[in-house]
Amino acid sequence: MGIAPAELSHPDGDAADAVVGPLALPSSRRRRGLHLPGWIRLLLTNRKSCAGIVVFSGIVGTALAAPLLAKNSPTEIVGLPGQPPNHDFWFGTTDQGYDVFSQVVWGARTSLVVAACAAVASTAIAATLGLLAAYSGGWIDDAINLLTNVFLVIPTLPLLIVISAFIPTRGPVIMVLILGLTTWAIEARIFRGQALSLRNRDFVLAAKVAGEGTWGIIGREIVPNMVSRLAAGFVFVFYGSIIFAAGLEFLGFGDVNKTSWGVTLYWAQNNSSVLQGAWWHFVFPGVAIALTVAALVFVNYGVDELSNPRLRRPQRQRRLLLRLVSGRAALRAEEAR
Amino acid sequence: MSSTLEVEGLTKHFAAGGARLFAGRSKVHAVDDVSFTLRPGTITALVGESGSGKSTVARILARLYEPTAGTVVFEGLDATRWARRKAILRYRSQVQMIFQDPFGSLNPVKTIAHHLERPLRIHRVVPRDRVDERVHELLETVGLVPAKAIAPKYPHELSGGQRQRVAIARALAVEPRVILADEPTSMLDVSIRIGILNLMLKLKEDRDLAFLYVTHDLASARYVADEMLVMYAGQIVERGPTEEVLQNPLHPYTRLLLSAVPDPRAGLRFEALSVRRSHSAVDPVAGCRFVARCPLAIGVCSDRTPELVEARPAQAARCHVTAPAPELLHA
Amino acid sequence: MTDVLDRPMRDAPAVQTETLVELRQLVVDYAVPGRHVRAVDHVDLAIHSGEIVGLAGESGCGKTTTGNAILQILREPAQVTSGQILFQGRDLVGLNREQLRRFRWRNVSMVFQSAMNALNPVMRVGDQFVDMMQAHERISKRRALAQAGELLEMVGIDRARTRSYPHELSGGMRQRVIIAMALALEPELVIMDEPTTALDVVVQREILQQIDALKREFGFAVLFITHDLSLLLEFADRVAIMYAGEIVESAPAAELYRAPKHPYTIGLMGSFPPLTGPIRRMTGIPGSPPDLSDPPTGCRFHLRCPHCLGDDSALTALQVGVRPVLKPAAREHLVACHLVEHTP
Repeated sequence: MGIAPAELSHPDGDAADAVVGPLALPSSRRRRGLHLPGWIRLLLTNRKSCAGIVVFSGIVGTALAAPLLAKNSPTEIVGLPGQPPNHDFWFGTTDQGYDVFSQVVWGARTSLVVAACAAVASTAIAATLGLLAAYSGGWIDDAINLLTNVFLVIPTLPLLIVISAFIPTRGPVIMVLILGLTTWAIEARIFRGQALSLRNRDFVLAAKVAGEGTWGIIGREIVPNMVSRLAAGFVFVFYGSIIFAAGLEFLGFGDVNKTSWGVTLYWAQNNSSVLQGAWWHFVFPGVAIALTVAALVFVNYGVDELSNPRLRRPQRQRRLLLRLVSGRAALRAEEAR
Repeated sequence: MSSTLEVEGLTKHFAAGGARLFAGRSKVHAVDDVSFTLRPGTITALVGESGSGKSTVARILARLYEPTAGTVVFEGLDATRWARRKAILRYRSQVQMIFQDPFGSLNPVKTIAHHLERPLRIHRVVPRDRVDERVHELLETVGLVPAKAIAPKYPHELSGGQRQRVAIARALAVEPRVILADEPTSMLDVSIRIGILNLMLKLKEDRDLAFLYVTHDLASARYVADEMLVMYAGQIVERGPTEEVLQNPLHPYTRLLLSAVPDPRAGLRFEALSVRRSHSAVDPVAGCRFVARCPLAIGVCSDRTPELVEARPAQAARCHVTAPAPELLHA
Repeated sequence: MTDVLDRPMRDAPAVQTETLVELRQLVVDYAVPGRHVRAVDHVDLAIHSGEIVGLAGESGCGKTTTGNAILQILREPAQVTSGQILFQGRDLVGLNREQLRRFRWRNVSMVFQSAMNALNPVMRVGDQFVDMMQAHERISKRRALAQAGELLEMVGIDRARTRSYPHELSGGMRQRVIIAMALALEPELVIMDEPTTALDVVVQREILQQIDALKREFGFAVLFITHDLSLLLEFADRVAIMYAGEIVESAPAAELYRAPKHPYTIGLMGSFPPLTGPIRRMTGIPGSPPDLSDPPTGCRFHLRCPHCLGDDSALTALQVGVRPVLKPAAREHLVACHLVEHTP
């Protein structure tokens, strides 16, 4: 007596699960509109992250388009000093005569790149140590935990200041190194936690029973399930690094001859722009920093939803954005189902 | 090489939290002195309630835990001795496992094909260019058709029954001789369970496999198993051919289980049950572990742990009253 | 020496008195943009006082949603689209929050599947009782704790355990705790959603016997939701079988066991391997429960039904095109099946 072949039917489970499966991302295979992977659609249809993506893209676009947008060199005296924002100089000029707009636009490049590289370094260290600790257990785990705790306990900014004060060289590369080596602790702790919980999941044990080796398990089973958490960690350290870098540069620990948001602020403070009432010297770089960080915070709302499916909520707003993103046809296809 | 898996004196103690002053750490006796044999073409049921240690036994056999004592002999070697990777890999190619949770045992971000490819590649079961073909064959063997459509899917796109079939296919990929099934149907819908059980029967017959079927469900154990082992508090308290154990149970715990199972065919009834008192597997004292709940307990039951004694041909129980050791009879 | 709780054979089902809860054409939908899932589709169900009604079905059939709907604890995106939920004649659907709050737990309470989901892991058991009682009436903490102790004794737990944390109790004891909590305010109906599924068979039987004893003493009705049909056939007075959001059969337990009529019920009962008697190969039911966002037309079971032959007959046309309605097939025995309806 044979077995009737299992039908290709839909998942059983509570009715609620049939609607939003545990890790189910909206399948993009059956739609006729734009072909976007599920995670991009999710980021774009979450109101907050969509706003964040738009603003951040704008800022990155501005930085990339610097040669077109800001024709003046940020390091040359191009106009009368101390001008408030006007037709020629949208953000005014410094008390030396530099173009604030150029400084902000060109400075974006440095600030963003430094922070991005620092975030890459920091996340790499955090992931390596966190996963190693979780998977090895025993004394390796204890040793890494001790190291993590030390770095967590020491307040980051004072640590950065002290380290910077001791290192004679200044500049973006040093900044990346210093930031990367000090900001990894928080995320390492989180990655370790998640790797620990994944390590005892049945599918990891099943891979072990199937004969998968340690690195195979870490690389094929554990890390792919942590991608969105790694991404969220990266974004977090990214905007943290923007702030820290700006802070260090403001205090004079950056290379004051380079152009970046923090350095502009340094000069604004150095030249007593506040006292002189030249608000444009520090408000615009400050707003740039705040806007970028806020945009990334908002993006992380969406990334959080990716890593934790339980946060996903069906939203009415999704329909409008769905339509904008994937086209009317896709929306109709979705509704017709 | 013999395809039997012989388990002898398997013991596993876990450290219970909290060391007591002057007494050393408490130990949970999850598994104590468990012995049995898995033979080709036989399904052996390991029956017990949660906390009885049955899942731990299966995991030790799968080399996920290291036993505190005892041996697991397969192909002449003791599999519990941590050996070189080559020996471990050889063991894994012969002894496979199916887990209880059909969703949890599949990686949610990998396709079904990935799950079946990995063991094929790791153990080099087929040459590289035939891997896809073999994946489809495996899916067809477990009844997942059309295989080409199922292979690229993700676990959440399949139903619970289908996922469990994928888990079985993965276990079959390495062409094992022994399959350890840890409650493979308890998280599935009732009407789907029979399909999985029938698949197990078919595989046993077609491929002469040895199965260890861990379950708390006596009825399904009766449906598939040839041999039955009953576990309580980490020990095997009864073993024998399934039908014998179920129709003429020796051990009072087996009798208690049988009386508690809802069985509509037995007619409507409310059975008398013994009073419940919890047993503790933490630092158990000498004597039978069932003594607090046993309606047949006599004096010696609190003093001496009974041995597993063969009271009838092929049927043994761990009970001073129903399966007394020969020397006690003459005492 | 044998220390047993002697139980006589169960009495015949209690004489039906007043209708306590009545669901009339209840419809519950999950409103997700783009997909529309009808979890409960025009369900009629009546529960009389003192009665044990069993609601059986597999995952996704809507039984849990139905239980939640009675207590009005459905969460977004689920909502009651239409139909009535009458409690002693009063429709619960229109009540405001305050009225519902007073109604819940006092008139109808619920026992959930996993006690660890219902119990706060960082509060002592006694304090959780106090919390619950003080939410519903003016009572001092001391009196509430005393009552908590009595309730625990009632379910067979030592009253000193009011000082325990949930994790210090075994699974069976935790389940008894939430049963005690559900009975604290002496409701008229207790809804139990898979209360014993996570427990072992022996504990399960003890708890059921306990519930039966309490029911005799306090006279509450029980809506017992589970997938374990064999349990209901022993324990319940009446059993309703749900499939894909609909009730497909409903009968007194003894009658259902003796003469099931709906092919799904027959298939379900045939999915329980027997503990006694000959061992035969069984087939279960092929296929899977349907996707409720796109259910089959006509009879929802027709794709899996051995009696739907897919030919040109009038019967097939009905099975594929027309939804069957619950009709009496025997005394107190309702079935929603075209085959049954058209077979003399």
